[in-house]
Amino acid sequence: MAHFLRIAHPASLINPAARVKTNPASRELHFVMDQDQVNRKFKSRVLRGFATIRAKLPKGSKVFKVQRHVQQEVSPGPPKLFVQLGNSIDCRNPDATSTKESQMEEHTPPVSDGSPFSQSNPTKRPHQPEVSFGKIESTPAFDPAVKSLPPLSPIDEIDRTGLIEANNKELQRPSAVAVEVRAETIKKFDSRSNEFEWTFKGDPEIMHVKKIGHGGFGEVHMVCFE
Amino acid sequence: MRRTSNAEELFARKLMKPFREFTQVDIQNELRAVTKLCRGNPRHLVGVHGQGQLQDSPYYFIDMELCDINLEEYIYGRQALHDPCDTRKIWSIMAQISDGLTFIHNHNEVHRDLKPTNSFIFPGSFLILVLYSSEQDAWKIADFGC
Repeated sequence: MAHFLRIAHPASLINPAARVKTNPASRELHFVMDQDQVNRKFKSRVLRGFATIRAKLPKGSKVFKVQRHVQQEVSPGPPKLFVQLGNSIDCRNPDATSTKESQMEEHTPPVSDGSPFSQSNPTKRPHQPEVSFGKIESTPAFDPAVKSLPPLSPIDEIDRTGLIEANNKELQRPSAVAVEVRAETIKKFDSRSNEFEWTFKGDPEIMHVKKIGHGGFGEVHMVCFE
Repeated sequence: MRRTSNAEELFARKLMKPFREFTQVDIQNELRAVTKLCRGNPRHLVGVHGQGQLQDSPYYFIDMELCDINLEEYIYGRQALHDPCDTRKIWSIMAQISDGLTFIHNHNEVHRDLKPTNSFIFPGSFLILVLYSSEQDAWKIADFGC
């Protein structure tokens, strides 16, 4: 069994049709962004949130982005970020997680063939159980526009955003290549020189793991005793 | 130099150097405040394993508890996931941070750099936190900026 989580960009506060969606057909996190409807400051905050999520994803996870110009060729819909999770993230029930992992190998469709949005296809595979995704499944309580809407079925809801149509069109075009994304914040963080690295080389008791932060004061590193 | 942590335990080492407005006096004030406040591991302040000055250098270090996420990351992460905190959770976070601040003030110190990036959650697996955070999460203040 696999997880699928479609996450709407907060621009959906403006466009209440776009919502958080889950789909058990794959193990991807989808971030649907509409860059035209959000101001620059808000977008940078959301991108920062994405960067945080990506940095904390399980080992082996991959993050892709459908480039905007490619998306525009196919459809005027919003650009999309999607994440392939390396591990199950159902942390509430470890036993169920291991079961899901074993089932996932059987049911998870391949993603690396450039057709990541095939998971949003409403056609359902046989013997594929439904999985709820915890709190993400619920409608955001702080969105008054969304709150006032009547409940919709997942398929209807996606249809309202036009995503299914856009995704199906994109499947017909192999040129819609998913490109790995590095957020600007992460780039900036990596490009900085490790000024204090020398301090760990002379200490036999300390093993340096990685740099986790920096600021005007200096740097913060993750270390452990050997 | 004082170390109280166990072997194989991960922790965060903050390395500081005098630079422009962040003078050596500021660093020494922070080390003094850390020594004073973190004695006895108060509940809502980040625990400190050791602190001091690196040998033969003007650089100082503080070894602290390692956390996975701060309040800013938490807020933006929840925002990106389109699942903002409910009012009860916000009150819980604010109450815990206020407790930590009260502790600092009761010891005649002032936190001069209180901000979301200096408030951390323990324990901290990010996915557990974002997807299934509980009311039992402990929020702690760090980086006193004294």
